[in-house]
Order: sequence, then structure tokens, then C-alpha cells
Amino acid sequence: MYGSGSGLPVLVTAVPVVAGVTTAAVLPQTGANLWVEVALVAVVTLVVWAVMYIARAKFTTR
Amino acid sequence: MNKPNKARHFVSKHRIYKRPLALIIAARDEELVIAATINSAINAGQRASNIFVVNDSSTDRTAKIAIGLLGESNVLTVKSGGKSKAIRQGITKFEIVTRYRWMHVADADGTFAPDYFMAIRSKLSRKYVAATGHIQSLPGGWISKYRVYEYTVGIEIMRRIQAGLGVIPVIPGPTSVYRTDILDKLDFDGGTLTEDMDITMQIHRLKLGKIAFIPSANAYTQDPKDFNDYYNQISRWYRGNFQVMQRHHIGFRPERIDAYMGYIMLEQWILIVELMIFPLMAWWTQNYAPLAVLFINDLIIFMGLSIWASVLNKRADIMGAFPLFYALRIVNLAVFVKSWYEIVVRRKFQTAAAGWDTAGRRYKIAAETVIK
Repeated sequence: MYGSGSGLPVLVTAVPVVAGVTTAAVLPQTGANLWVEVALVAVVTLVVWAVMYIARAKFTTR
Repeated sequence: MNKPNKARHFVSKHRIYKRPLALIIAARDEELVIAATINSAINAGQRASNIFVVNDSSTDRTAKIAIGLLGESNVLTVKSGGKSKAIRQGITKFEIVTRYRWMHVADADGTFAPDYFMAIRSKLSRKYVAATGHIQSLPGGWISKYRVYEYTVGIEIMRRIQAGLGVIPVIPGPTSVYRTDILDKLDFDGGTLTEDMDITMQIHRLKLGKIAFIPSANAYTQDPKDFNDYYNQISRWYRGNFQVMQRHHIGFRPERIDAYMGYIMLEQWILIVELMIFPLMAWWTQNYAPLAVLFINDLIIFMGLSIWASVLNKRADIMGAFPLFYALRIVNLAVFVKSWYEIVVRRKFQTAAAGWDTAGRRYKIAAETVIK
């Protein structure tokens, strides 16, 4: 039952958001173009989201 | 030899009266799904006496299950020869042309919404020669979630435009209806991997008449279970797509279907070139802003459509798999290019092997799964 009633769904949502926010906080220090910053935040969020989705699927179908 | 149902049609002084609609299902090794499909058709308003199964030498209990539900007179077992040949043999054996005004062909893994056949029958008229309903994906894994997105955009937006312009390029397998008086003009065994698209193009090329789109008729289909199944399925679709375009010289005649298919091809190639050219240009000039703008725009549109598909289908889980949709879009484009190279450049798969691509792909379904 791991994943169905546990805190995993919260993690699946929260971890990508934290990753995106962290990227957004760090990027201005690099002096990148605003569009590039937004795109990078989106890419990081999507990749972490995908990883969490796959991980969750693995845990819940085990 | 089994005789067809006798109370099928009668002759008045001047006319032969035919029944409105026959449902014909070609099946090979479909014991996991055939009962759910037949029961679903019956629950959706099709009488068992008007449902026919052509069993293409199944090695499992497909024929036994079908006979149990429909009776021996409505099930035909044929020597293995592929789906198209099975359908053709079914049309002859069950005298579909003389007994019925319309014939519905369905896949053995399909299920139907409870009012499906009522919706289909209510829209069929002499001004059409064929019709197709609305395809939806049965609940499944992440690939089926992507398919929900694809079907929603493809049917709710594109199909309506295609129907309005008279350029429906494919009457898909799970929901395809033909007026029986055109059946003898159609070649069901055109030697391509996508017989449904081939038949649709024949309707366009022979100028047989209009194709109706019936959005209120919902049919449900199984999607691939895993990535390998998905890859094999879209490879067959794209290869078949190019085979059909070559067979009917699509793009070389001043007709609407040529213009539409040309637009579809152009759209794909522009996207592919963009995906290759923009990153290269960004790397060459060390200016990543245009690439970033392109990506953000694409993300906004793609995410907007995914949210819309999610809301329309009342399924929040569709959005959960959103990042994986991106990967599948890239896979689709790669398979498109690979299939184009195989069929158009290398001239491979010139004649499709008569067969089935459903082996090992099915999972057991219950008809009530789709009742909303």
C-alpha cells in the first residue's frame, strides 16, 4: 500500500515545485536571459516531475 | 454448414427491405476481450442476431466464447489470412450486402457507450456513404493517459474541422460504418499496414460520397500497455500512413484530401526542422533566448490543451503524467522520420504481410468499465 495512502503523492507534487523554485532562486546569479531562466525552471520542474511520476508508479505497482 | 439467420429481410412488391445495421467483428486469439466487446455491443443497443464474429483461426477460446454469446449461425471460422480477408469473408458468408443497409466493423478489443448504436443509427442517412464515431481510451497506464490527450485534441478539434471540410483521412478501426452498397467498390485487402486509412482514401479517390462524423457515438479502445507496444503500434501506423499515401498518390492531385494531407505532412516536417535547427542555431550563436521563447510558447499551448483534455474527460490523473507526454511527442516525431525513410526512401514494406498486430497486447476488460 506504500504510495496509495502515504505521503508519496504529496512528494510527487512537492519535489518538482521545490526543484523549480530552487532553480529560479539560483539562476539570476548567473546573469542569464529572462526567457532562458524561465525555460530552465520549466525544464528542471518537468524532468523532476517525470522522475517522481515514474518512481511513484514503480512503488505503487510493486 | 451453418445457415444465416432466416428472418433477415423480406421483399415487398417493389422493394427489398433490409435491416439497418450489422456489426462485424474480426478476431484472432481474443479470448481476453471478445466477451466484453460482444456484451458491450448488446448493452449499447445492437441485437445479438445482428452481430457477427469472424474467427481467424484462433488457437484460444475466442470462437467458443463468441458462439456461446451469439450462436453458431453468427460465428464464422476462417483459415488464417489477416483481418481484411476475414472481414471480406464475413461479408460474403453472412450476406451483409443483401441483408443490411449499413455495416459496422469493430475491433475485438472495443467497447461501446450504452447509447452508442442508437446514436449511430440516428445519424445514418443516404447522403453519407460511411461514418465514424468518437474514440476514447479505456483507463490504463501513462500511455493511455497520453492517448486521452491525443484523442481529445484529435477528435474534438481536428475531426470536427476534417468533417466540415470533407477531408476525414481515416475512419478508425474501432468505430467504422460503411453503407453496404459501396462495399463491392472497396478493396479491403490493399496490401497496406493500415487498412482503415486505405479504405477511407479509396472513398475519397473514387468519390463515393461523404463521410459522417458522429461525436455523440462513443467507442472505447485499448491502448498499448507499455512503451514497446506503443512503439510497435505507432510504427505500424506511420508506415501504413506512408504506404497509403503512396498507393493513392496523395499530394499529387488538385483535391481537398491532397491539400489536407499535404498540410499535415508539412506541419510535421516544420516541427522536426524546428527541433533540429533551433538548438543548433542557439549553440552556434550562443544566444539561447529564441530557443527558450519557442519552448515556453510550446509548453503553454501543450499544457493548456492537456488541462483542457483533463477537464473534458473529468480525469485529473491525465495531468499527473504530463511531463512524460513530452517524451512521447519526441518519440512520435522520431518514428515519423524513421517510417518515412523506410517506406518512401528505402521502399521497404511494399506489401504488408496479412496478419494481426494484437498478439500479446490485450488485457482483460469489463464492459462496465466504460459506463459513465
